[in-house]
Amino acid sequence: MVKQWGGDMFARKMNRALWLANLAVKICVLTSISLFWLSGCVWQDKQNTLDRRDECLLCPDDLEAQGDPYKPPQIAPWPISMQESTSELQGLATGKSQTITITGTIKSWRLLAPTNLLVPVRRAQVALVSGDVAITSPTWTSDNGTFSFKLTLANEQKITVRLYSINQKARVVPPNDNNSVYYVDLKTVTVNPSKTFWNLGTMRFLEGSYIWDMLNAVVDVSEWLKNKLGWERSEVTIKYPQGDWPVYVPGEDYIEMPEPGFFTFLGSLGTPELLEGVIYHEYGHAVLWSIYGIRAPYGPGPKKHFIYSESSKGFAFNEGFAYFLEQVVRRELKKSGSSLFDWPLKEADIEKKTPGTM
Amino acid sequence: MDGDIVEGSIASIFWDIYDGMGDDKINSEFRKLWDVLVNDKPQNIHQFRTAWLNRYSSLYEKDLEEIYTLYGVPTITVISPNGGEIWDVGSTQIIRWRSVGVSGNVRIELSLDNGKTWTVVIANTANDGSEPWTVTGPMTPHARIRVVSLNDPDIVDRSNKSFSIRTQVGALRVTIEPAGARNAGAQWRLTSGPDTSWKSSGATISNLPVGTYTVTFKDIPGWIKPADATVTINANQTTTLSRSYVTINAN
Repeated sequence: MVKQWGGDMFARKMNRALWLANLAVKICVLTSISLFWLSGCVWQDKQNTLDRRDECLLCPDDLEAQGDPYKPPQIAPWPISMQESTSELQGLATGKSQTITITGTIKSWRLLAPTNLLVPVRRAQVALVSGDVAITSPTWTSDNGTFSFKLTLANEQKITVRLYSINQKARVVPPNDNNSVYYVDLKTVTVNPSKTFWNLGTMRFLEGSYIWDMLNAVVDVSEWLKNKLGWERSEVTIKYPQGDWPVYVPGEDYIEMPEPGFFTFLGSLGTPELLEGVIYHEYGHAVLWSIYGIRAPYGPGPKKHFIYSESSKGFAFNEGFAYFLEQVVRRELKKSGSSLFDWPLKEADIEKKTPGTM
Repeated sequence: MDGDIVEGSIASIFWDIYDGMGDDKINSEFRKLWDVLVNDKPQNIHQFRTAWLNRYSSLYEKDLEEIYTLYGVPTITVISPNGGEIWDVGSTQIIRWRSVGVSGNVRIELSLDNGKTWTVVIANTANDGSEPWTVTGPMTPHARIRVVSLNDPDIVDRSNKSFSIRTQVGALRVTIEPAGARNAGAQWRLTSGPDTSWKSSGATISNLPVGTYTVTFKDIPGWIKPADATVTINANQTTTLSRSYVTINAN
């Protein structure tokens, strides 16, 4: 969906059923997490001690820390405020200063069903903080979710690995606040200069994972375009949670994404693959806007529309391109699972001129 | 569809182009599609089709037409002239086109420069698939015809390749008698045509388009010039004309 340029801006509120579905999914998620905990998973305190972490590094992966049950991520002003240098840390030191390396891997549990999917958080921004102040320049995770920091220490230091809702292609911001991003604190440990290499292991989290799923999806589609064309779009802003229907807002150039309940409302279609497809689709609108500017094709069309909807020529062209790009990226990246606009099914539907499953 | 378009049909058309019109053999046409979007910025699928054909000639044209038909997208397709024809000025030719889902009449336009500029040759005619046209000049090897829906000018098609408008030519040779008049400066010229400059006796104008012309003669003192003469130029022939001046008797 793309908001009409200068017209009636976007789809109306979803009905009460959506609200109930939203509530239901949260209950469902909490329930599944509880079951997971009862089944023997170890939830580690974020305030890991060194010994505890070292012990854990010897544990099977499924005994690693997972983070708290789902709760909204916190919000931090953007850009990150960073402590001016490491000299302050050294100034606090009583021992010999030493540069240490801190590494780790970040993966998120997906919120949407099935919830047992664990995916790397790719190319996202992560920093080490002490209290609320960054003590390292932010860095980017790799495509495998790994990160690495250098930190000069003279003494024991409590650090927290903080993940921000921004990656190399997009950022997710709270509604009505373009100057902030979300963050989650993944692990707090105490390090000291006695060891030069600190592997914090795999950090898994659920809180706000939906946000990083969206960011991952933007990496997918933008990287595919870059590889295919050598063309790269500027950073995309996603406002979340905002509205009750996924839309791209031309002119202001951002994507609005509703609460996860929007997707769970779709029942069995409420999957991570569906979320990815929606991001690819809205990104398609952002691509058209980027290459057309104010001349991008628009026109009247149904507020809630699907692939078989009839609409004006401009509206249909814009939507058609977005559907197309979504399907191409899904296919070329070999994304499995169903899509809201599952192509073989919907193509057949179009040819028969009958509505699809939605 | 009354001008409305099913969104999925647009996606399908893009998909089929991307697929190289093959059977799910995803290949390289995304770049071509992208180039049309970036450079031509079509506002709808009709403009996309026009831009595509402008850019890539007849690549996938038939497939595009089939897809349009499949999805009920209104379309016009020029059948003749569609490239390579030679039409003579003055002859009557039949312009032919095919249309699907197009309501209302059409306009027919002519380009002499491969589609860079267009002039209307028939402003309003029934969308019945054919229209006779008496070919007009000038000569060009870069002519194209396009047919445009009057109800929706986005629904348009043009000759895939250029055709030629040819003017058949002949020559005219005029002699003037007697020698005294020639010596006194007698000359002739055409009142119209590609060359209307004064010519001396025996001169020939070549590459003269076929048709009818008027030859006129210069006034010279002491002589009565011949009356204007009408000549017909035939293709690949030299028409000759001889006229005499008469001396004015001073007695």
